[in-house]
Formats: sequence, C-alpha cells, structure tokens
Amino acid sequence: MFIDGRTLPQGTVIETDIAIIGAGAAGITLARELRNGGRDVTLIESGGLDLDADTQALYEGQSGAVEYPLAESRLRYFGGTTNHWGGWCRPLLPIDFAGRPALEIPAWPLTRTDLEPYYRRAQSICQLGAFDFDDPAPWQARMNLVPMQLPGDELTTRFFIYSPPTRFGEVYRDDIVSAANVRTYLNSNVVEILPNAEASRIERLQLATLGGNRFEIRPKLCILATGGIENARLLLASHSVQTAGLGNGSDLVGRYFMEHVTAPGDVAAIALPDQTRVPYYYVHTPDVDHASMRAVLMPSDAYLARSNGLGTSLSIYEARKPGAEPKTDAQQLEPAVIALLRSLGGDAEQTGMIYGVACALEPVPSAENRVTLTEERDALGLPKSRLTWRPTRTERKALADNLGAMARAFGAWGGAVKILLTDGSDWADDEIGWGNHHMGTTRMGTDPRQGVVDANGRVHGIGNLLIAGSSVFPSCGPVNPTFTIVALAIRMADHIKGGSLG
Amino acid sequence: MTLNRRRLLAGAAMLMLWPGSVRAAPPTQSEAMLDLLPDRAGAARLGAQWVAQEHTEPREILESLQRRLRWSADADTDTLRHNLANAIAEDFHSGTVVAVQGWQIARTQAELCALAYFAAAGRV
Repeated sequence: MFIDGRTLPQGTVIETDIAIIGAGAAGITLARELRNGGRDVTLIESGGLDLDADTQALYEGQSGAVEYPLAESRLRYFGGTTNHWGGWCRPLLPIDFAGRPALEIPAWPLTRTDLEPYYRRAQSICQLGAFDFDDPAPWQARMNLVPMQLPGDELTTRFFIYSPPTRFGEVYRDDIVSAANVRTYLNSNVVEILPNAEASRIERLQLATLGGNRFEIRPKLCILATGGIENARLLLASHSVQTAGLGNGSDLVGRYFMEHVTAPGDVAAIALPDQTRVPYYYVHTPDVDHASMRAVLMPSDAYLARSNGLGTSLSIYEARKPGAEPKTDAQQLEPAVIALLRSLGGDAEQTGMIYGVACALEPVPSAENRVTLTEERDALGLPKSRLTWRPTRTERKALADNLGAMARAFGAWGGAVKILLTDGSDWADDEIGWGNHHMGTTRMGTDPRQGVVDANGRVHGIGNLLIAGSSVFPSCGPVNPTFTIVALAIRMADHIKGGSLG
Repeated sequence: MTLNRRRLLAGAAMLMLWPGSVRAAPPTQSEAMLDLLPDRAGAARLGAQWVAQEHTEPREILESLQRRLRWSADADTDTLRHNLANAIAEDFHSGTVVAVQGWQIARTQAELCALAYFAAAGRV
C-alpha cells in the first residue's frame, strides 16, 4: 500500500514493527524480503513515484574539496538512485574483504564466503543471469571466444555483468504495493531519529513533508537506508540526545567517505598492430543467454599483494584506427608506433588499432574525506551536508603503477600502451572523475572504536538501529557498489526474519 | 690505393675483434637492423623524441643493439626479428621500459628508433 505523507492528519502517530528509511536498492530489497512475513513493515520515502525538483533539492549541499555534484549524483524518489544507475555489477573479491594493513585498508568483519549466498540471491534481483564473474571458461563456452592471453601475472581478466539496469522502483513496485504487511509512505521525510534518554534504543522518528505536515513513526526496529551521504547526515542531525550525533561516540559517522576515482576520459591508450587481437567482449557488451557482459582487466591478487597496490578496473574502448584524423600533435606519432610494433612481423593485411582505456580505482579510506553538516539548512530545516573529498597521493601512485603493469603486459604481447596520466604526485582537478558511488561513512567494524555498525549492520550501542547500504562498507575494491548493497540487504533481512536482529 | 674485396674482409675481421669501433662498422650492420623497421621515417620521428630525452650517441646505440639483438654477421632477418622479439619481451619483463610522449616502449625498440633517427641524419 502506498500512502502519501502529505495527506496524513497533522501529528499522526504510526506504530510499526520495522521502519525502513529510504526506498532505494537497499530499502526496497529489505521490504521485498520482509514482505508477507509476520511483521508489520513501514517503508519511508522522501520522494514520490517520479522526480520532483523541490524534493531533489533536499540533496543540495556544499563541497569542501573537490566540487562534487551532491544533488545530481543521486535520486530522491521511489527506487532511489537505481532510477539512473548504469547497472554494472560484480561482487567484491576475497582480497577486498581481507583488508590490507600496509595501506590502512581495514578488513571487513565478513568474508566473501559469508556473503557468497547473498550475492547469488542478489543475482536474480539485479536481473543478471549467470553468476560468472571471474572464470572465463563459461563465457568462452557460450561465445566461442578466448580472453586475451597477456603474458605475466600482473593483470587478469574479470567480468562485469550488466543489470538491464533494474529500476527497483518500477520492477519491484507491485511487490511492495501488494504486500499485505508493507505500507509505504511517500513524500515523507525523516528529519530526526530520536532515541531514548540513554540512547540505547530508537523510540521515534520525526517526519515532515515539504508542505509542512509533521507526523511520527514509532518503530520497534529501525533501518536507515538512505545512501552513503544521507545516512551520515541524518545520524549527525539526530543530536537531541547524543550531541555529536547518533552512533557517533567514536567520531566515525561521516568519516572515511569513499568514491571510485574514474578520471574523466581515458587514462591510457593501447596500440595494437592487429585489430583482431582484442576480443569483442572487451570493447562491447554482448548479450549472452539473457545476460549482458563486459570483460575488464584488473591487477591480479598476487600483483596487488606484492606491490601494495590498489584494485583498479581497466575498461577498454574501441577508439579508432591509428592516425585517423589525428587531433593533436601527440596523435601524429600513432602510425609510427603501430609501424614499430610491426617490426615483429604479423599480418600485414590487418589494420592497427588504437584503443582507449578508462579506469575505476579503489580508494584508500581516509578520515579526512568526510560528510559533515553545514550551518545552512534545507527546506525542511535540516542542516545541509558538506562533502569533503579529495583522492589521495596513494591512489594516484597506485593508478600509475597499475597502468605501468598494463604497459608491461601489452608491450610483451606485441602492443604498446600510452599513459595519459600526467607526471606528478598530486591529482590535478581536471584529472579527477568519480563514479557517483558514496561509501564508507558509517563503516562496519567489530570494535565500536573502529566502526559505526557491527558485522550485521547494527549501530554499536543502539540495539534497534540498523544501517543498510554502501555507507557500511569499510573498503570497496574497484567495483560498483549496488550489487553488494543488495546482497547485504538480503542478509540483513534474513537475520531479521531469523530473529537475530530484533 | 684501391679498395678491393680482400681489404674489406680484413677490415671487417678487425672490427669483429674490436667491437667498440662501431662507428666504423660496415653499413650492412645498421642496415640489417633498420630493415626490421617497416616505417623508418616514423621510427626516426619516435627516435628523435627519445634521443632528445636521453642525449644518447650513435655509438652507444649501435653497441647496445649489437648486444640486445645478438648481432652476428651471418644473422639473417628472421633471426634478427626473433632476437628482437626476445629482447622486447625481456625488456618488458625486467621493466626496461622508456616513455616517448607517454608511449611505453621497450628500450630495445627505442634504440632501434634512435638508430633510424641517426641514420636519417647521416650519423651512422
């Protein structure tokens, strides 16, 4: 059932077993998993069923470092940011969960094995087809194509599978509407989460609409699922009892914000003397058995371990024939490079090719990259968020190192790589791109001094407050977060149904 | 004194005994190496860039290429090409890589390009 919060009588009080704040990938997955169960579920969504400019403006905030599009990088209506996500899915690798102390990347209190069954269930929710992310053999069997046999052990081929992309608010709307135990309040904004005097349990949620209506929800269990920036904002703004913000006893809420640096445009180019050497599925997204797949190159686990490197997803794009309408002086050398590669022989009938390379880079969690509150307030009276984020030198060096590894692999294979990242240890502003992935601001950790939530997403010290979504990621590898968000939400729902989370 | 075949052979034998004297190497040596390049002019452009970075000299380049390509007077093009492939692979394996306007190429490739540049300039 959908209920428009604007139509409720002023001061309405709603009792519920489980309140889920936010109807995005995490919130909708939780509600679906809990539907038709024995407990009453209240799903709370700030927006309606379509984009509304005034509601979307509630996301506006300030940038403290890199100028970051806070309002444009996420969507505030039913379905959340899945209303514009790209659909790239793959699970985190075991090495991503293990942590790397030398880089101050913490371990998750979970392993890939723990999450594996939930990833497999997320597969169907994200409409992905086969669960083949790392083994080329199944794709080879389906497509009769072999991956590039690059020499050395520094790079490996891995696969993303594309969600259609699943618009959770559309695909799963009927499931939510028809569930007898789920009520969804649209156009309803939580403006404060209120705990008891000891701040050991959540008692009430205060809600407001843009039209001025105010009402209250009293949940037995509360799940915050509003995204990597808004989860922190709402906790920090809920300071009536805990003055530093809910769950912020260790000053961790909002800190360790993570984003994947993507760098605008290409970070490298690959020259090959033979246009047939790069298989189709590195440069396109073929549909195979109802799944759309894309092969990428990543540094191998062994290389990352011995180089203290960061995970990087390197995507190849078919660019052009060498020297075809070169636009810059630098491109004038391309035909010469291709010809140089032909000094080893090869099929003279084939045309050389220049490919572009784009990247997504694993970030190093930094306490200085953080969400804080500003003095400025939004239309509901809530302090706006300020995002202070700048990628670090460590990340830039890791990217340069990984591009060097790519150059070695392709060079030994008969190609050549041009690294487009400029020399220097600091990022130039025009080199910084991002994936619109907001992670880490309520990180998971078994020790309350190290994490805001425990391994099950429960806020340390607050028995009935859970957090879902990418804000709980202690680290994030180089891959898009949605698939892991959904897997974690399924796991949380299972634990709720099993009674272990209240 | 007229140049005859016997004198040429004697000169070549001396050079084999004294490989440092590559400036006076028979033209067939650099030509054989340059024959590996399908586009000498393009290679020379790359070579010009690299030489400007490295300030290297023809003699050093020839000596190095002799070593890297396992040059011998009786090596045919196929053998040289095979040796070139091995040298490039070894360079990338060992990280002996140079950058020319961002292009990461094996040092052996860069030296071949430098040779093309020096040849075009009449310096070998």
